[in-house]
Amino acid sequence: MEGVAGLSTKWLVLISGSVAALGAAILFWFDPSQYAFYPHCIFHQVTGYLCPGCGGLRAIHQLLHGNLASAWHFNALLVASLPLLSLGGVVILWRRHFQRPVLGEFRLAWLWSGLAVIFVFGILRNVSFVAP
Amino acid sequence: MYKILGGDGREYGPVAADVIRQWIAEGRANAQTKVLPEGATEWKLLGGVPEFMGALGTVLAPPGVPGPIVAPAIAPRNNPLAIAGLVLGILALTLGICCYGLPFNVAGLIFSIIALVQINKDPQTQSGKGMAIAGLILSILSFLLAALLLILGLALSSSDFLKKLQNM
Repeated sequence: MEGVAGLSTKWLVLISGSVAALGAAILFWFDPSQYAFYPHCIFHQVTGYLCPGCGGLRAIHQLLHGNLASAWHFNALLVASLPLLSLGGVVILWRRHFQRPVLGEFRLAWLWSGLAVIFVFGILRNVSFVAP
Repeated sequence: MYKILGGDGREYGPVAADVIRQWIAEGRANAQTKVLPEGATEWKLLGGVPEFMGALGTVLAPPGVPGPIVAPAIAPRNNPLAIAGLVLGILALTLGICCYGLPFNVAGLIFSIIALVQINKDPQTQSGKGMAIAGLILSILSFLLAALLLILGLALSSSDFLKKLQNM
């Protein structure tokens, strides 16, 4: 079918899949805590506080090596939301391919709750008695 | 799939039978509303289509009283994905300092594009094209800002990087 930007679902899966695979390969072989070529968080450099995404790359590196505990330590929110994010990707592709709504219509409440979770996580991870 | 001819003379749809049943329940369509089944060439009255007898029966006026000809007053609804795309686009630019706005501009781009496709497919019941386009532009701007910051950061840390390479 004629899809987003003229791309068919097959190509969309192929492109996003290879980008994800390339990223995973880089993150698997090069530990972000060892190599300096990774982008650094500007928010962290300027303020010294951790942003909600800080430690994300290191967390993925640990996950790819099967270390769930240290991945959780680097960025708990990312580890917890990865299953949800992959489900979201599958749902979007599924809808495109079969032209049928899955999981009902998109609701704005999902967006607001997601943003609230990110915001609260960003605050809590900087509070010493929650995340020492 | 069916098309509906509104009391305002505009065509609505094509929509699924379930949607029409919902319109009947909401009083937007009734037995006198004209309907064009997919593949047919002639408009029929909704009351003459066996598929909708059940739905019409539950809201039918008492016998003898002519039913009011209610136009399907379908107000175009803002596409929720367009709103989401716009919100994410704004966040991508304002919170771009965290992770280069990456979660927000990627999601904003995806949501805005899906919203534009949905709105173009069904412009009579969905609005919010302006918001979707704004979300798209803001997300792309955020990507450009991210690229700029990335290059700036790399230029600043390239001296460190070279040192590390020499020590290897």
